[in-house]
Amino acid sequence: MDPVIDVRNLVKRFRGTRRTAFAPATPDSLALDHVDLAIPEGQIYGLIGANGAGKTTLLKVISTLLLPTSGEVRVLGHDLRTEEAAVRSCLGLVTNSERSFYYRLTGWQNLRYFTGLYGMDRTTLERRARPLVDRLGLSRAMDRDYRTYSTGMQRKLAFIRAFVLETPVLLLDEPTSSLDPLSSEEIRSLIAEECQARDQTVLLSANNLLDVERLAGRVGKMSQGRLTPVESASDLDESLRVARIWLRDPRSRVEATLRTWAGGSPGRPPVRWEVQERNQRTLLRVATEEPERMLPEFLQFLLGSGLAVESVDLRSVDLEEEFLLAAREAEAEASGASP
Amino acid sequence: MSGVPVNGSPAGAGLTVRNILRKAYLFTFLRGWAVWLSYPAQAFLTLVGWVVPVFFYFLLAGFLTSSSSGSPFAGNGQGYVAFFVVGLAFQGFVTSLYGMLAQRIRSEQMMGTLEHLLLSPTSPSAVLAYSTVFGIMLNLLAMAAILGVGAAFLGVVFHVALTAVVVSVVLLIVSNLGMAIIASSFILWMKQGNPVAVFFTLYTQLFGGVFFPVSYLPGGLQVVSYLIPLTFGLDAVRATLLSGAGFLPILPDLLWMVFYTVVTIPLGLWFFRWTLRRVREDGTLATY
Repeated sequence: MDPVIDVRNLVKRFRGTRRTAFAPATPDSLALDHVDLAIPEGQIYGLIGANGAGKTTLLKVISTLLLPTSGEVRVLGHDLRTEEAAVRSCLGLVTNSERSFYYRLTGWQNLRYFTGLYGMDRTTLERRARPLVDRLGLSRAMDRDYRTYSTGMQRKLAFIRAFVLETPVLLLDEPTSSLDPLSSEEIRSLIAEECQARDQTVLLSANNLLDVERLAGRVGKMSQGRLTPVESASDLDESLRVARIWLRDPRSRVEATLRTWAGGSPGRPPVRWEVQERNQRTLLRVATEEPERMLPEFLQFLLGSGLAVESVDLRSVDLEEEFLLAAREAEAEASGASP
Repeated sequence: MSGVPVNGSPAGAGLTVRNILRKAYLFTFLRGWAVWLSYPAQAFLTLVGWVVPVFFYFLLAGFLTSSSSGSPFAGNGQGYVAFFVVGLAFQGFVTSLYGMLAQRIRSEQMMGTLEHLLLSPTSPSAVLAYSTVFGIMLNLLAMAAILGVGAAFLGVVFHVALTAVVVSVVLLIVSNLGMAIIASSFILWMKQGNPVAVFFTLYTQLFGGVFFPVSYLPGGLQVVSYLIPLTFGLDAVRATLLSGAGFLPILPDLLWMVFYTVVTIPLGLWFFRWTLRRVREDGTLATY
């Protein structure tokens, strides 16, 4: 069966600007670098990656709001370039911005307006929206102006708008950003149940990794516009181990030492690392698939460099660590340094 | 599974009468009136803004000229007051049409609703068309207010050839739509500043025969005045509204307006689509 979302060799390059008397020139930037992605019907695909990695750009290209530079995108077999209207009619989108409704209209008026653009009548809207409104606790707010809504209520209304359309495909950009833990959990349950009930195909980008862990059947990691598949969230522990090493040295010193690792001896394997300063100590996370082989040599290197190692433990990588490592790699790559 | 299962039609985007009326209602009454009237102070001040200039020009006219039958405005039989009342009532259509569509686009950008509008199966051209309806309705109110003040307080007497007036007004509006679409495209592209709207507002006030007849302009500039459809529109409306003229005397004016309609609307739509494509390439659709 053909995938519902089928992305092949997708490239999105943003044009730079010329230098003017008031602003310096900006170079072209490659936001999506030959992205391939195939999502079958009914699957929730999670995208993780640092800010600026290209997650939102990918969602916007698929939703037709951005034009691709090259490559192919098909949604339910409709080609994005030649059947744009058909693609749009298959999609529901929840953006990560609260600004997507009319502030001077009530919740119901806003829903009536946006669903009316899809030809939905009032009766159908009421029938589809009422259970969602009740479930998300918006019943008493729906006759109030949108401008009086809290951030959580605004996000919930955005979800109701997306779900009542009952589109076969949903694009969710950071669905729980700026929500408190309780509301986040409510939204996650809603997504899981509604999408399963309708067999909706979902592409979900997330900074809150719990979203991906709880919802996604498959996960992809975006970094500098490139998408690499990660094993499913529940399988992460089988592929990667992380050594958590606490050091008494300042972060800058630890980072400076780590930069000499690969150059110190030609036989040393490259390692993925990420450093954080916590309570005047430094937490170094090192990811490896062969901890037994690499870790002793690595610890020897640290001690030999004069660093004060306090403790070491080895554990399975979780999504947050995967995310941090990817972000660190992207940062290092952008600055031209070896990760 | 394909398309949105709404009312059994694919995405409800079809051009059925029901769909068109539903969307006209949504754009006009919900997004238009409901929002406009939710700012009562603005609504009141807008009304004042329609009416006050009528008195301003009336006093100015009294000071500068005598509105006797010997004046150059005697063609309409009622002197300068009737001339500028009609000019003011219908010039507002044009200038606010330029400003309103552009303003609409800009406020959609600022509210973050533009992306969701364009994501719907309603085509961008249809979004523009529906957005125009509210602007036109608002200007019909303005027109009625200005003409009403003219009749009630300033002694303007109307001799109306109704069908000819309606045709003239419709053509006056549609012949300016193309340029209004171009103005709104500029906002989509440039975000701030609207050279087309500003230029046309000033240009039409100066050259469109709003406050004084085109014949007052020096020879070369009279030619410039015929490059804007408002000149022909005001000629036709004055003749049909003040003197009860039928279609024959205003036929050349109507034909010129048809010409501008046929030329500028396709040009405006083409430019809008080009601009939309450009901002979608640049990723600046929702930025402002």
